[in-house]
Amino acid sequence: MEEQDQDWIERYFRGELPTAEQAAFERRAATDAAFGAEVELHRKALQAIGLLEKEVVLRQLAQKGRELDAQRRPGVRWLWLGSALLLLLAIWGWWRWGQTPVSQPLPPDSPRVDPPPDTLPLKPAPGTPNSTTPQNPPPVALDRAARERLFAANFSPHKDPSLEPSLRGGAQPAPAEQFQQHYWEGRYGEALALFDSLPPAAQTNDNLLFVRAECWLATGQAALAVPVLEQILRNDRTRYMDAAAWHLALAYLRLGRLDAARAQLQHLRRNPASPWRNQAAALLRRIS
Amino acid sequence: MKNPEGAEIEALLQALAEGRTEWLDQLYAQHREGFFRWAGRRFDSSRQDLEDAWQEAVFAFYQQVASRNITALRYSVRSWLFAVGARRLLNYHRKMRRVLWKDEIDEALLHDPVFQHFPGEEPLADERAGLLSAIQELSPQCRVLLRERFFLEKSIAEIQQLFDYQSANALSVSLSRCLGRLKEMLRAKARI
Repeated sequence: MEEQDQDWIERYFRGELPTAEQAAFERRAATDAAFGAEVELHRKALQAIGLLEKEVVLRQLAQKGRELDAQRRPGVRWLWLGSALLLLLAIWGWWRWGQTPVSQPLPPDSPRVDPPPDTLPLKPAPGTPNSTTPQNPPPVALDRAARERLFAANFSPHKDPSLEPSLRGGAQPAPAEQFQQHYWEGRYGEALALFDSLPPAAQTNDNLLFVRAECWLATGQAALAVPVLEQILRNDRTRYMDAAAWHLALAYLRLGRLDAARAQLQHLRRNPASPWRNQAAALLRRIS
Repeated sequence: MKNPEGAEIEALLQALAEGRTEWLDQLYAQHREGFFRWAGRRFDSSRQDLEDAWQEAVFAFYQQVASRNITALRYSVRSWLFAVGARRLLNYHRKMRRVLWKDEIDEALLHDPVFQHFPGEEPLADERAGLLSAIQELSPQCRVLLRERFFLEKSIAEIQQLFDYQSANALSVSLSRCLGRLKEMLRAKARI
C-alpha cells in the first residue's frame, strides 16, 4: 500500500476529509478490494488500540470501586456493632434494674481472685440444668476452612509450554533455568531458595517474579504472593497476565479478602480473553 | 473537585483530552453512589450490573472527550454519565421500571438522539480476544505511541514534544513501524 494511501486512510478515520473527498474515499473502498481490505485492517487496529485503553481504564476504575467499597463498609459495620452494643446494654440495664441485690459483700480481708485475662468462661456441660440455650455462632459467610477448600479446588501452579525448561545437552543450566526447573518439577521450596541467589536483573523480571509468586501460593504463603502479583499486573509486562489475574483472585480468597477477591473475579469474568473466565464466574457464584 | 462546573469542567475536559486518566477516578467516585441509587430505582439490576454500567459510562465519556467529540457539554457531566449508564443497562436488556417523577436524564434518554448510540457496539468475544492479544504483543513503547496518536488523537508535534523526539520525521517513522507491526499481528490472527 502506498504511503499516500495510508495517510489518506488515517485522515479519513480522524474525520479530516472534506465531504466530497470523504465520498470519494468511500467509493474507492467499496470498489477497490485491496484498498477496502486495508481500510478494514486500519479500522481493526484502531479498535484494538481503543480496547486496550478500555481494559486499562476499567481495571483502574474497578480498583477505585474496591477502595470505595472498603471505605464504606467499615462505617456500616461499626454502626451495626454500635447499635447492637447499645441494645445489649439496654437489656442488661433493664435486667439489673428488675433484680434484687442478693450477693453478700466479701469480708474486707478476703483476697479477691481475678481470673487470668486469657481464661475462657466455663461452659456448662450439655444437659445440665443450668445450661442455657446454646448461642448461635455469628453468621460467617465463608470461614477459613471453606476458603481453603475453594482455594485448593481451584489452584494449581500455572504450567504451560513456555515454562518448560529446555533440555540442553552437557551445559550447566543458568540459575534462572534451574529455578524454572525446580518449579516445573514441583520443588517449590528449592525454587524459592534459589530465587534469592539469582542475578538482580532476573529478580526484577516479571515472568520470573510470577513463577516466584506461584511457588509461594503452592507453599501456602498467599500473603507474600499478593503484592508481587499486584505489582506484575500493574506493570503489564509478563506473558502470564491472565494466570496472574486468576491466581491473585485465589490468593485474596485464601487470605479472606473477599471484597478484593470478588472484584478481581468480576474483572476476570468480564474479560473474554481470559481462559479462566468461566471458572471465575463459577467461583464468584460460590462466594457471592 | 466537588462539583465540576464551568472552569472546572474545562479543566476536566482538558485533562481527559491529554489522557490523564487519574481524573476519571474522581469522576467515577463522585457520582457512583448517586448513579446506583438513581438507576437502582429504574432498573431491575444487581449492584454488579450497575457497577459495570457505571464503569462503561465513565469510559464512554473519556473516549468521547479524547476523540474531541465532546468539547463542551449540553448537559451536566452527571446527567451525561447517568444517561449513558442507563443506555448501557437498556442495551443489556435490563427492564426499565416506570418512574413517576421524570428528571432531565429521563427526558434526555427518551428524546436526545445523542444517547441512542451509547455505548458503542462491542466486538464479539472471540474478535475482542484476538484484537487484545494482537496489541498486547507489541512493545510497551509502541503501545504508548499508538495510544497517544490514535486514541488520544494527538498531533505529531504534541507527541514529539511529549517524548522528546529529535524530529517529527523520526517520530513518524516509529509510529508507522508500530502501526505496521500491529496490522501484521492482526493479519496473522485473522489467518489462524
